Formats: sequence, structure tokens, C-alpha cells
Amino acid sequence: MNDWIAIGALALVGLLIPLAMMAVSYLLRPSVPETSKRATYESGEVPTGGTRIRFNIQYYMVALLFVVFDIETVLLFPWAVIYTDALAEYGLFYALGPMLLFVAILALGLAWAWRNGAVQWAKSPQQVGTEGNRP
Amino acid sequence: MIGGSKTPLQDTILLPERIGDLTGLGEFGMAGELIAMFIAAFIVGNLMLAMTGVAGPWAKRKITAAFTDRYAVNRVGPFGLLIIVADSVRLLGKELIIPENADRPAYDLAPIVVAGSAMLGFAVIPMGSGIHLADPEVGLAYVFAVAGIASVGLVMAGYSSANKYSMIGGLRAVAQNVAYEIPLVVTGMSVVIFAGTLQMSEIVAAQAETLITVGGLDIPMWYAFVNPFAFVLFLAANFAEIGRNPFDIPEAPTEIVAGYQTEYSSVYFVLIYLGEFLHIFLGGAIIATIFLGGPAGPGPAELGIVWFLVKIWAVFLLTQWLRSALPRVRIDQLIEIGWKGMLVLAFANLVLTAIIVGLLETDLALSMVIFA
Repeated sequence: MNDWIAIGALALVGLLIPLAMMAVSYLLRPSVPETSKRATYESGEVPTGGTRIRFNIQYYMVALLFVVFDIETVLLFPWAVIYTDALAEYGLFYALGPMLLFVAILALGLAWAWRNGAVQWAKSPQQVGTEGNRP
Repeated sequence: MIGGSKTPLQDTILLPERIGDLTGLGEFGMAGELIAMFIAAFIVGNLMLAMTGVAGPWAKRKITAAFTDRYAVNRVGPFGLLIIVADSVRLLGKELIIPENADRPAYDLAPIVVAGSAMLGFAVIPMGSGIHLADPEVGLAYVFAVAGIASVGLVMAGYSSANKYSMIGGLRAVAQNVAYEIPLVVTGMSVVIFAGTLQMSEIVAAQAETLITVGGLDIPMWYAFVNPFAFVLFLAANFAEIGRNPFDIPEAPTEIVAGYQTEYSSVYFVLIYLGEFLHIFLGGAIIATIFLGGPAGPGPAELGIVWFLVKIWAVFLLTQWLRSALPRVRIDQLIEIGWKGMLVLAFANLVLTAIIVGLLETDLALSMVIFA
């Protein structure tokens, strides 16, 4: 319990330090508002279009895969903690077997995703066409 | 102190308690304890802040200059060290320019999330010399969880800036953190198999034993020596996780200006920059704790903090070395290295470690019969 209060204290410090820096900066910095200054930066060009752009589907695919594997790691952590104790009590077969089966199912899932191109960076038809010309 | 009295091996006195005893605050009951905790948290927070202050404006420039055969920052103070003060005043005194389409609350909160979450991870790291803020039983899981919060801050920064470079930078940051989080955690798990606990102090204590004696020299059972493969894998995944070369594609200055921090200026930029450096050191602290014996080293135990700092600065030096030495990977290469290479290797490492530990721990002959 005490541990978590101490962590909470550090969270408070971690919040107060940035806020204090912001306060100091607020006192120090000048403010010279100009309309063109606040324009979106696009390497000096006049900004065009919005930023809610369509992006590569791949970012979504890997996020989906991540959910599966992240839950898996959460489920594996308790096993890793008790593994050596379980070995002494239940023997190698019962301590290791279920975990191997669990990882095997996930490996099968990864193999399926791999085969279907989920972990391959998606390319547009043009990119696929010019693939041979790339160095 | 819960979880503090299980083994005689570990350092049972944490920093808040020590401060409570030293100042007599511990006698004032709950309120005194709270104040002691706050002081302890303040010390830990500022220690890390001081390190990033040195690392950011000074060490990074000095190291890069050394690699590229130049001089750097040698005018202000001895070795140019006072540039740290000058730089912090300069950066805090810059005008804050907020882009016109920025999504305000998120845009302002992102720097706090990035900097604050990085500092939170240090709570469970045993730094030696009694500097250890908290020691919960789920220490390692906690530190991985907290280190992951930064991704949220990076997405907030990238999305709310209303800038295409920032947007792409934020997306890349997530894709990268997501791809390398699994290898990182799974490799860390292979260490948990040896230690049998997630508690940081116990993981450090487990590494204090002697692995092998070579010519009268005791090699400690640091997990980097026990399982070098896991160590290398963890280092690589860590560099991707903190977004350093060769995996610095979320920033990629030659492609997308500065990624998610393109539109940040003044104190907001300082905070994001600070958060990144804190993350480098947090990564170094995790590596030092679970692979390099934490604060262990020759000499008396009071020198713990020195050895700990040496270890995390060694990791920092390595990041700067890679920065000067390695080219950046492309986004498609990054995804493929992560999901096809690192992930498979991390699971292979976990399964092999489990099998080897299992064979060593149980009766070898008996297990052969079962497997045959």
C-alpha cells in the first residue's frame, strides 16, 4: 500500500515539474502575436488541405495484431513468475506443456497473419509496379 | 512496508522510510510519512531531471562532436558545462507559437503526458545507496506499463498539432512502439523465469550470486551474462521503443521535419525533449536493473548509485554511438524487422529459456522419458 502512495507522490512531482516549468516560461517569454506566424508549417509552402488525411491501412493492421499479442503477454507473466516453483511441484510436462501449446496457437495466428500480408508493409498499385526499379 | 520483509537479501529500507527516520518526520504518523514520501519523490524526480539536463544540451553535443571529429560547446564555463544553464534560460524564454488549427486541450496536455509518464517509471527502480522510492510486487510489469503511456502523449501531440508531418510522425511512433513492445516485454519475461518474481529488488538480489569464477575473479550472475541473446534482443527492442537510431523514424528529420514535435516551441518543446531523454534513461535503468545487476559493482554497497549511473550512462552512450554510426531504417523495414524478426526471436528466446530452465531444474532423465 505504502508503495503505491510513494508512486502517487512521484506522479504528483512528475506533474508539478512540467507545470512549474510552464509557469516559469510564462513569466519569461515574450508574446508578439502575428497572424502568419501561427500558420501550419509545411516547409515554407502555403499549407494546403486539412490534416485529417487518409493514411496507410498498415497502421491499423499492426494495431489490431498488437492487441492480440499484448493480451498474450499479460497472460504469460503470471506463468513466468511461478514457473520454477511449478517445475518443482508438477514437473516439466505440466509446467511447460500448456504454455507451449498457448504460444503455439499464437504462433499459428502470426503465421496466418504473415501469410495474409498483415505484417507486410502495404503498397499502392503504383509502388508495386515500380518495385523492380528501386535500388 | 508490504513486501519488504520477505527475504533477508534485499535492501528493506526504501527511500521514504529512510527520510522519515533521518528527519524525524516518521514520528508524526500518516502526515509525516506522506511528507517524507513527497520529499523522496522530489529527490528521485530531480535526480533524473538533472541527468537529462546534462545529457540533453551538453553530453549529446559533446559525444556527437567527438564522433564527427569536431569541437563542441567549449566556450561557456569549464568544458562548456554552463551551456546547460544558458540553454535552459534560452529555451524557456522563447515565444510560444501555437499553430492556428491546433486542438487545444490535447495540444497542451501532450508535453505533460510525455514528460510526466517518463518520470513515473523511475519509482520502482532500485538505484543503490538506498535510493529506491517504491518496491511493489509487480514492479517490472508496472515499469513496462508506465513506459507505454508515452505513446499516448506522442499520438496526442501528433494529432492535435494539425500538421501533416506531425500526424505522420504520431502514426509512426505508435506503429513502432506497438511493434517493439511485444519483443521487449517477452524478452523481459525470460528474465522473470530466472528470477521467479516481478519485484525489482528481488530481481537485483537474484543477480548478486556468483555465476562462475574465472581465475579468482567472481563473475556475478547478471542476466546479461546468463542469457546474452536476451540481452542483445532487449537492447535492440529498447532502442526502437525509445525511438533512437537506427529506429528513429517517428522523428526522421530528413523525411518528416521533426515528426510529432514539428509544431512545438518554447517550453512545450523543452518538455517533449525532456520526456525523450527521460525515456532513454528509463530504458537504460530497466536494462541496468534486469540485465546488469542494478546498482551492483565492486566496492562497498554505498557506491551503488555510482555504479547504477555508470550503467545507465553506458546505455546512453550506446544510443549516441548508434546515432552517429547507423543509418535509419525505412518504415516498411521497421515493421518487417519488428513483426517478422524480433517477435519470432523473442518468442524463441522465451520458449528455449523455459525449456532449458525446465531441464536443468527437474530431473534430466525423467524429462527425457516424457519428451521421447
